Amino acid sequence: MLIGVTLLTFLISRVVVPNPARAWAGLKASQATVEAIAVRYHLHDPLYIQYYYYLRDLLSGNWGTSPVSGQLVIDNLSAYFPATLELAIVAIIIAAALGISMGVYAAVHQDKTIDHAIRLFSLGTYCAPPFLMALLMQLLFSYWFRILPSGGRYSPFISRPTHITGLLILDSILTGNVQALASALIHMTLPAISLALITFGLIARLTRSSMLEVLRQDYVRTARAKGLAERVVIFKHALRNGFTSIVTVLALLFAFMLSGAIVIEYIFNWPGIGRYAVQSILALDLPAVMGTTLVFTLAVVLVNLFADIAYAILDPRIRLD
Amino acid sequence: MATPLLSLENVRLEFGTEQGIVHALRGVDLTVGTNEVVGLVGESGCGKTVLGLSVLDLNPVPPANLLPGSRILFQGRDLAKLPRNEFALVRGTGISMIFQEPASSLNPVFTVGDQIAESIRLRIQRQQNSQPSAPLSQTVNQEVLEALKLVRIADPERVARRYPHELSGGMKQRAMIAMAMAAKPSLLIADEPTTALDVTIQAQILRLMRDLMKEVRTSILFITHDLGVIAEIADRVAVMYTGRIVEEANVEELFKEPLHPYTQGLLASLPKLSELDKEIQQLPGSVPDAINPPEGCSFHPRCKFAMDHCRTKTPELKTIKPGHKVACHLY
Amino acid sequence: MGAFLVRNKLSLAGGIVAAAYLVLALVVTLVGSHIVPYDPFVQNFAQTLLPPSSQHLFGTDDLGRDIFSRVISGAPIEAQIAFSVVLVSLAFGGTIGAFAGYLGGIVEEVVMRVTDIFLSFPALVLAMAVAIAIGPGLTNSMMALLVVWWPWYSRIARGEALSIKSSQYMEAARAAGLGDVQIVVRHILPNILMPLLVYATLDISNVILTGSILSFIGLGAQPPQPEWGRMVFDGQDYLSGAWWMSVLPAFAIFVVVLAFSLFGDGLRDAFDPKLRRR
Repeated sequence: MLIGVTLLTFLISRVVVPNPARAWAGLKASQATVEAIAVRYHLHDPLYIQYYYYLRDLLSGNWGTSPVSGQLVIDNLSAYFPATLELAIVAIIIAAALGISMGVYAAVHQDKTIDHAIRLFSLGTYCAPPFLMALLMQLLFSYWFRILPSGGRYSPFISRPTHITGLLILDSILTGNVQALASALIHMTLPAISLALITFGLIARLTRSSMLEVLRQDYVRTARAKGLAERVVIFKHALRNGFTSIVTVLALLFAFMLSGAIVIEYIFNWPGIGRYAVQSILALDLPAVMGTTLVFTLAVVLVNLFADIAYAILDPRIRLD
Repeated sequence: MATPLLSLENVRLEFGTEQGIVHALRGVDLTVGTNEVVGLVGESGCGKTVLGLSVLDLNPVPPANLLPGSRILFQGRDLAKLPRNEFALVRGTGISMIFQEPASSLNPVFTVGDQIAESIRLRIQRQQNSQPSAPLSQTVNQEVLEALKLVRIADPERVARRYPHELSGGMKQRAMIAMAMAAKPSLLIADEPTTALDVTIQAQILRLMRDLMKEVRTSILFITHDLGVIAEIADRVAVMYTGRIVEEANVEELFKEPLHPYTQGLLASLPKLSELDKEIQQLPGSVPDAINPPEGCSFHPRCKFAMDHCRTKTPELKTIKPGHKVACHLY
Repeated sequence: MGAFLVRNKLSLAGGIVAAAYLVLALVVTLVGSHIVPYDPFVQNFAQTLLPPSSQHLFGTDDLGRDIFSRVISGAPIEAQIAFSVVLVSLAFGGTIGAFAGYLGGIVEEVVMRVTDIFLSFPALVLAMAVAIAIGPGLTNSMMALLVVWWPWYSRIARGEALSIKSSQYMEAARAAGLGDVQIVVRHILPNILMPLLVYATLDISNVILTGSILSFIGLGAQPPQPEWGRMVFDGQDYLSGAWWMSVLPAFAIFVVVLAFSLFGDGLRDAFDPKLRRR
């Protein structure tokens, strides 16, 4: 699978691009530089040889040099990666908490007004383009009400906490730096909420349909017959069975969230890979864009792998296979 | 006579469906005493499962509707009048229920032991009303093993750790019974527990339930369509047709001298080894539509003794002989 | 089915809005910008950044252009993108998937592997990569979206083909001596068309969403074309002072996407045998 992914990115960056050498050298580069690039990346050789060198470069960490910034793509990516990771984690936690609870609530109160309201709200937030949410939030909370910052990851007036993991929230907690923690949290609020709002609709809808299925099952009736309190029936017996499909959804969602992150990061000036991707596109920086494509896709593949493992752990019926 | 354990009086229940209102129960009167097995027999669609579920209020409530005037008396209290949270207290430790398909009735993601332990913990917590504290897991585990031994499962330690899908049909049903009995209920409602099992396993389970009854003194309301099973396990039998009880008697009495034409038809349609040369007699017609049951005595379209007023007047369940009730205009 | 849609009022509302939008797009395509109050391309520096008023329903942008006119004129672009991408993906992906499912064996293996590879990329990310490789522009963005979208139809088509393959009806066709290609074309494709179409209706809203994001980041229709996503991007810098520049086109996208989603949902419920209440 990974081979396939790299193959496709390879094809895009060498074959689909009309003039790969020029694209990798940069639009302003001289002919000599272009030629040098062509030689270095073996662009005159047959495709399969090119692919071999491509893979070798990838694995050794040579993801190319950005003709725009002059820096190694891999350096840029690793610098921006923690910010995106942090944002994604917080957003997923919010989205999952909101989505799962609303989904369960809607399923338990099926066909009542609240159910329809939740379904509509979920659909609405899913359909709203990410920039609509982000811009509205910015407009309301940063410009009109002026209670939250409109961008950036932390205040430039406060010193950053010592770099342990690169995740600002974690680092400031670990070093006991309350000011930095406050700053990080405040800056995180709008982007995380925007990102969560976009994705939670999907979780809510899928949790709801999964729970509806489960609540129809005989074993739920048995649990009630045993005399268990309704709360226990729903949260212990029913939800536990619905978890497997929720996990699959979360994995699917991750891909969706990354796409949303690209827009959200740009609008909120969040220094992550998403913003880097947009900036690179605007600058027509091909190596950088291919690098981000690869990172995002690898992340999604990994998450799906984890989801498969989690699925096996959660559902004992699958384990024996 | 001592107060019956369970007394159903004029229980009426209907379901709202897209095709119309289904009159599932149309005035059921039934009692179950302490220490006895009452069989409830009838063809599919007569409402026997709904009746079983109604006792525990397990019918899904938006479509189901228990009509006023229905009384469900358990140990003297009218369950129909209890608020939902108090009703939940009756379930499990007062009245317990086992179902037809053990495969789908057991939660697939928890071990058998866990599910039995739930019943045990619930029972212990309800007993300690004044000081609810979590029971020791040792005690609970011990009781789980005892419950499994009670249902004659060899190697209970191993089985307790298994998931439902790892057990055979018969084992699953025993586990269900263990789970239901672990709460030490006064009444067990068994809804076709042997129907989904192979015949040999059926016999084992029935024997198990009979033995359990003697050991533990739990009454059983045994719901089935199979008269042969009734003969094996029941002390008294109630015959149900389109939402009403049409005959009720001791099991020997019923088989020897069935009074209601429907019961007679049912018994006649059983193949008997001693009468191999005779043709199997079938009851003419089919079970009527529950949305529009026939007026008067609902059996009259199929009854060869039907008289004029059977079409208009519904017969009441009357005691004809001691311990033998019938709802029929013939008597 | 009509009765069902009427029962599901939201879905019907969505359908009406979606239809209205399509009519609008069609009219604009045919008649051009004559129906709008102002020319969407003419710049007017005396009238920049005006808030919405009775003269300028959606206000004006930083170059003095009337936003309402631009939104209306830009309507067909979204529809163009969405319908072309979905229809071609359906045709291409559906056919490939059908053949793969029917022929089985190594053909199926290979096709499904390729499909899976494409599907492991997040949609937007892959579209971005292809779009930047072939350069910005409206047609190019459509091609990029095509690359991303066809595998979904391939997968569905293959699944449907698999279930039809083993039906008795197929046995008869084979016994009649029809060649493989003929069987697929004449028997399988028409049968899988319905589920594919239902999926396609739902998909239109997804394509519009992704397409608008592509334009937002600069890879779609180029200025001065009044493409909605691009308009949102252009208005970002003026958000605090002139929110209507970004928010209103973004809202337009939202309304269209929601309309198609609601309608698609209702359509899917109407056709889903499991959900049909007896």
